[in-house]
Amino acid sequence: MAQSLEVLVLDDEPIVGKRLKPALEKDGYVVEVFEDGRSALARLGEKEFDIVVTDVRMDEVDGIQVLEAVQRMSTRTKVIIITGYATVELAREALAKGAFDFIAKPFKPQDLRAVIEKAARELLAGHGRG
Amino acid sequence: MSFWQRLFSLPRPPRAEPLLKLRLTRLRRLNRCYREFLGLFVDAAEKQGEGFILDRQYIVSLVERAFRLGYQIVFHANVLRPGIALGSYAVLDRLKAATRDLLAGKLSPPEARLTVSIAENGGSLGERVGERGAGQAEQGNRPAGTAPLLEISPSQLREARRRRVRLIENEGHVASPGIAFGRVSMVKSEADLPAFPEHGVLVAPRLEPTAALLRTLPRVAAVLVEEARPMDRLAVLARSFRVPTLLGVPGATRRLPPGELVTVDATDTVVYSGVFEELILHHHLHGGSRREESEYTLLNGVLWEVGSPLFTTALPDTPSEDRQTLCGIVQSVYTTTLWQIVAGLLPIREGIPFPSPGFPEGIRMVDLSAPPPGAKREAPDAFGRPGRSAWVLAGLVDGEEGGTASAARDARGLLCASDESVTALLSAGDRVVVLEAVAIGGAEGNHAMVCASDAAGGSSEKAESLDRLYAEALRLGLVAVRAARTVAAWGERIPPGSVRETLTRLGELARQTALGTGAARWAAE
Repeated sequence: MAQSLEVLVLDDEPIVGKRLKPALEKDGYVVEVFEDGRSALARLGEKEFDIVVTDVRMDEVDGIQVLEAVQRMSTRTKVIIITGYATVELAREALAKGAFDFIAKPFKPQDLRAVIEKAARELLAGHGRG
Repeated sequence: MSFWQRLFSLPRPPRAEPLLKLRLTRLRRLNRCYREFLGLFVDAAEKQGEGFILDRQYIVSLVERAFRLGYQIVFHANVLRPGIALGSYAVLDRLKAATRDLLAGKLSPPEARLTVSIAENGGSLGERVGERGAGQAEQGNRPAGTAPLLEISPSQLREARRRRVRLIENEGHVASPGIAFGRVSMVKSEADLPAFPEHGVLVAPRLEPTAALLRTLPRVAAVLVEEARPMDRLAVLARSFRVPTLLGVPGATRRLPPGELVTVDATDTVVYSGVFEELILHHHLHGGSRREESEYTLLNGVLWEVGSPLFTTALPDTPSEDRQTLCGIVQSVYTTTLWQIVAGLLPIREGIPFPSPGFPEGIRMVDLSAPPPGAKREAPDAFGRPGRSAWVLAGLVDGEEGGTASAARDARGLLCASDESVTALLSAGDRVVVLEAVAIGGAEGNHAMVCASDAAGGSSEKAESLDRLYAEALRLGLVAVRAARTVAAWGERIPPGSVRETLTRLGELARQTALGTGAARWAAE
């Protein structure tokens, strides 16, 4: 289940992508990591990802903008928001705007893997129905 | 002049009591700061041990809390002994500014380090900082020439994982993450440790943090223990040596046959049969280790910088391994803080020599963290603080001649240990809870510790261990009070600030304990 799903991880802190990529790859996901919001948006314009994991607070492009951009490009892509404890309200706003789920920092890769697995199940269920 | 008067430099008895009350209150607040430091340690240890992604927000928050506690400690220390730590304010200010600059740079340049030089600090505080950062940064970078040579795709890894036989899955707590392989080697007692094979997977029903273990850990590939918790000292040791370790794995000794080749994924709490080459390769290429993360290297450097220059004793002999884990660094801040307070309360300005020629006559200070002269056992100084604590514990609990315990018994008066050592001492008996540890003492009152245990509910072995511990504490001149957990609340009922009453009650409790009547009667009052 959920194998071969493609995941885009966007966080301006390098350690997040560095730790998440191998953890998600162990589960069979194909992962692309970005630290810069503009590059990530450009990549999202080129390719449809199954799951997008994005930090909510970044310098140039914030997670809400990424969420809105993804929703414009693909309705099936699941967006998971990563948030610091100071930005929980922002995460709630993201949920209201259609984000799949959010996870608070600091977190363990296993925590995010569980959320991604849930998103993957939903994606595959939707695919099966379709 | 009584010990109390000497301790607090009080000139005349009539003024002594109210001032003592005030200072004891201050001491309690100081202890609260210690507890918060310990909280930092626990928080950091849990997050590191459980494999959290410690991003910059967390690091900034941790550093800010460390500074806040630093300022509070300096304040309390100055109140207790006016002016003793005035220079610390300037040190803290400069460190804080430098640290914030470093953090504002997103912790990116690994070579960045603080270089705050403290030339004049009132003569009681640290000398200089900044020399260790380079060494840590060098260790933190991936060595040249180790770039990935092969690649493994996620689908290959997924398929390989599917095929693999899992001997243990989703069991145990991560004490130190990572992946390693080796042959299972059973350790049923400490006697098995010296012959432990190179690069073996250590499997044990339980494991004590002894000097023998410290000597063995460098050649251990991974550790699996049935009876242990993530916050045990064993976990701290495992992280210090960066050995992938799972604790609390039920039936590990039964399920993993000796000599079997296994791969331990301590990050995901899975043990695979055989050598899982794909996983090991993937981990080698992408997993890395904490040592390779510049964030950790810099965080460790920053916290070390925050802690070390504040205090007289910077534990210069502590090896770098002990400082390379986050929890180790926070712990060292905590330890050095305690030493500063001990040094500040006692008439010793420069370091803590044992025994000090300037120490009050009739009182001898025993350093629980150092071996006594002529000790027969080899003190594991080379292993740093965890090693020394383990050595001290072994000496106290085993009652071996030539250890620190016997040296302490020979002391004429005061036993003055850091709170950490006292806590470690009490931790030697499982199920012991420290309610309060106050750095006071003397020939008449000695070091007061208020603690509780529920040994009655434990095994007879534990109860015996506790008996030995408390008997040893009493022989050492400590006021140690034992109470069942159900009556543990008694400690909190001792009125704060009343030195005389507190000591009287503690003394009475100690007397009852020594007579075997226990604390139950007192608690029932």
